[in-house]
Amino acid sequence: MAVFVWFISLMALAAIAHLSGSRGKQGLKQQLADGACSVVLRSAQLAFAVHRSFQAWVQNSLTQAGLDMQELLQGDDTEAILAKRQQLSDLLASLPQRPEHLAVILPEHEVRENEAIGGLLVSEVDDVEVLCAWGLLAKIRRLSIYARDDSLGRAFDSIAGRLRNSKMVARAFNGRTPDICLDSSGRVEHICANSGSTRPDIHISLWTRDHGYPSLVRLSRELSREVQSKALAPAAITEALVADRLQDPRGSKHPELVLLLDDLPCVSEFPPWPLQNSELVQADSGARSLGDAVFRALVCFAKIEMRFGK
Amino acid sequence: MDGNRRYARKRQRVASSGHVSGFYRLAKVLEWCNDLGVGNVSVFAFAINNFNRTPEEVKTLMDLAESKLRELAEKSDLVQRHGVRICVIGNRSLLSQGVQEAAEFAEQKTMHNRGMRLNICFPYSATDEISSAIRKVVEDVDTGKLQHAEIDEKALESRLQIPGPDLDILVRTSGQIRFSNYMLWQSVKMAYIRFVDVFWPDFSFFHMICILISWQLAYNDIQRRKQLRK
Repeated sequence: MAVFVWFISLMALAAIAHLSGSRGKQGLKQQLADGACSVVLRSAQLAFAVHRSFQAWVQNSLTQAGLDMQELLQGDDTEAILAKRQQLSDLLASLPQRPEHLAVILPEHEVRENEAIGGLLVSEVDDVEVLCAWGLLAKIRRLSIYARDDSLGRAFDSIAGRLRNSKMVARAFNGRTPDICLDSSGRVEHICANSGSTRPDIHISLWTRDHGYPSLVRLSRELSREVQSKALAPAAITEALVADRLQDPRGSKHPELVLLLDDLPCVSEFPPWPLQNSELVQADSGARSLGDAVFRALVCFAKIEMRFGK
Repeated sequence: MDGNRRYARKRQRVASSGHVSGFYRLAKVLEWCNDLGVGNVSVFAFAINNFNRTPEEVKTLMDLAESKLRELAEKSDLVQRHGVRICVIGNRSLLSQGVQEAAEFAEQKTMHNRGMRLNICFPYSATDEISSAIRKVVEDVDTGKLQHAEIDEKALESRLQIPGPDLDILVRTSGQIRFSNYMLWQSVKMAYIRFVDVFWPDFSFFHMICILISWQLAYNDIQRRKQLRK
């Protein structure tokens, strides 16, 4: 009621200033109008902040009552944790759709150093470990992790070492050691390889900007050489041919879901070709951990109607 | 411009009426963009894989495109008073003769205009655009217009159907959160991406202002990131 009265008073003042019509009071009218606009915008901002806080409170309450994402894979294997982990695994298995290929966009190293990124990220090695664990938990066979500046590629050995000895990863795989294939710009390493398996439990690719525009430039040069050597006619360079040449040699599909872990809704020169029909989810500002962000993205993906071209 | 048919279904109307509403919303949005000083607007009117829709709907869309392209070029305030230049982007060989002629007419009629540039992507796909750019680069090397060593990102980008300027903001309506093969090369270059949960004919000035304000707030961060990369 008080807000209503106050608002009406302001509008009345603005109306009086408008009706007075004197040139000498032009400055006052302008100030009143500016003040009214400012008040309206601030009120809207406050209402929005209260709304979002309420939403966050609801979500936190649900999480506390149910599943604490951070604890599930990092806590010790008590009976309660094991039961909750199984509950989460069943929940993920029950989702109507899950991506076979998940891509995650991480900020560049310099951006990590200078910006908070919502407190979800720790270091390249830690983040890859968490993402690997969540990929295994959600039975995602293909995980591509992108950082524009190859900070992940530079940490390849550390990442491989971490994944090899990771308790978190083992917990996510029901206490067993998964077969992980890790690749980055020509380097491939099989971690904890099971000699009997023909296919890794999860394939992790570390992507950089080089997998995007430069790969299209390399393809153009390769096709140009073929045309110069008369092995190919220019008219034969169709979309189907380009798609075929850019196809992953292992036959993986393009990522169905791309999770953006950055405050800015920009994809930082992520490879354009694979992005054609990917669902793009930016990490929720209410997410309390990286695992929580992945979980929310998977739930969001599960609800999406696939309407390509329809 | 997604959500025309769902907009129509929500109001128990036929899909074609949704597309007509979508056209009128486009005209409104273009006025707002023009008033706000936006220099270039690209709209995704028809995707190449939309040819998979029913023949009746495709015909309706083609007929609508043919009539509205001419209407835009001949009668709209935007063109007459504000000098908007219309460019029809995409693989026109897939269009019927009538639509091709309408597209040609709209472009010719407005080619000397110096106002806002309107790119109407019809029929378009980003992968078709990128493949075409690769083919053009290879053809130019083959004919000697370009040296092999000059094949780089700039050479490819200049041969795209929408080569520039850099895309600042990408908006998709209807609540879908994917690119659907639209302006992929341009979008990954630090474009500010917004998915709006409103059908295209319901897209209002309020939605637009909110997007512009949030882009303004992020502008310095975007510029800082671009500087980091130089």
